[in-house]
Amino acid sequence: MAGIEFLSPEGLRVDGRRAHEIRKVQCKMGVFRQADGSAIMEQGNTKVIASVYGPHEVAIRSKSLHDRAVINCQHSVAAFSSGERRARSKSDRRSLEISRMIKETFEAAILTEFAAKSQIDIYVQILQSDGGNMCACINAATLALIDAGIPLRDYVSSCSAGFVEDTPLVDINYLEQGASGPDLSVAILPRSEKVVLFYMDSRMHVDNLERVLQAAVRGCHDVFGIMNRTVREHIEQHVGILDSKDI
Amino acid sequence: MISSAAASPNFEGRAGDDVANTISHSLSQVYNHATALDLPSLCIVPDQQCWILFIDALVLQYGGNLIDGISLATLAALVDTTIPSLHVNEGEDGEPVEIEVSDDPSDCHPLDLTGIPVTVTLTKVSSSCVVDASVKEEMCADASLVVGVNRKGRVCSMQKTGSGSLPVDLLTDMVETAKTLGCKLISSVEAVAHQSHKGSPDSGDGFLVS
Repeated sequence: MAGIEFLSPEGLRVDGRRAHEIRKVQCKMGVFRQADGSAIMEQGNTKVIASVYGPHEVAIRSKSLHDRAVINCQHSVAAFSSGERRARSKSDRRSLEISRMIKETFEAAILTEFAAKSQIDIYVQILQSDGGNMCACINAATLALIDAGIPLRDYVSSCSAGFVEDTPLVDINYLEQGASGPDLSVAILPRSEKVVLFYMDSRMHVDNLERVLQAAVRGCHDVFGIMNRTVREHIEQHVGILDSKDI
Repeated sequence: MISSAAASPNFEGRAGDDVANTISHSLSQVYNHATALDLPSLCIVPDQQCWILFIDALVLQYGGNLIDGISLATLAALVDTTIPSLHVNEGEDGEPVEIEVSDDPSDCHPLDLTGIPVTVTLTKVSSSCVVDASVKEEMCADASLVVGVNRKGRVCSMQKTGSGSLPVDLLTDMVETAKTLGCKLISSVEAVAHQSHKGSPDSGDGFLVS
């Protein structure tokens, strides 16, 4: 886009951040009483709610798996979430694709062998979108799964990265996404440094991949730090464990 | 109106759409009324241009009595709504050619909500009537009456829902209760909405994160 300076000579982005800084993250667990687990995640202006129901009996018997749980994911975007109102149906192709990606991400992270012949539902709802939507969905879903007490291999923390003027930018917002540069979304299991989601649908020179990926992974670790702190505070508040450093 | 699957697993997929469509239809009957919203004030150029008002409601948690909840939320949202000021530029022959929308975010005016109704749902459970039914009460209900009431206590709409029947002598009492409650609800919601409007429009914290 002409006229917008994505990286000023002083190294500041359009919202005043440095290239390696993620947006302000605020998250809360247990926001809904009815769901087994729920969380709200805000990364900058992007706000996402995730709810988890389960493990419960499989809704469609034929889909039941004898040795592990079935993960069902539904992703929806509110009509009022972006600047221009756009009513999107739940079975919109893009929504279905993102649902599938979130489902596969969590199939790698959830210890599904512990809940054979049952189903775990993950519902993510985007309330306000300002870039990094899928990453915020995954982070919110991780917190909701922890709130629901579903056994996980590790947290799943996700962050996006872009590339402008030979500099990788971490946690890109909507304006930066429209810069027609690369937009890489990555989700990792932080403690084992394993990638569970790797998604990019733009062009990027392969020489830059290493640096952009490293930037995204650093962003994931930053987000993980905040999520970990949130979970511990939540546990201390609700369960009263004073020494939670072994968790 | 959209029912989020997060509200209840019963709302996933098609079932959620059915609930949403039913409630959208009921509410559009309440609001699509000459006295409900001052629609002529939304006209820009007669027969050519006007403002469209979209009301999108998203149900996050289902605890019963969706219609009333949505109508109260709609009222609060409408109190918060502002329309930007416009200037219509006319061409040589007096015909309006261009519409300029003001760039100044504070150059706007609120909607006229003197006639706006809220709904009060009265649910008949066995022989008595309850207002603001919970999930369990709705499951035991025979039938409900959804009454749209405005701030002057005037009834704007009435709909009977449910597969049971309502005794005629109970109907008058139900409507009277709805009128009293409706007025109180409108004044309470407006008081809170105006207060938070004056407060801080951008407090920097998330809306559910306290």
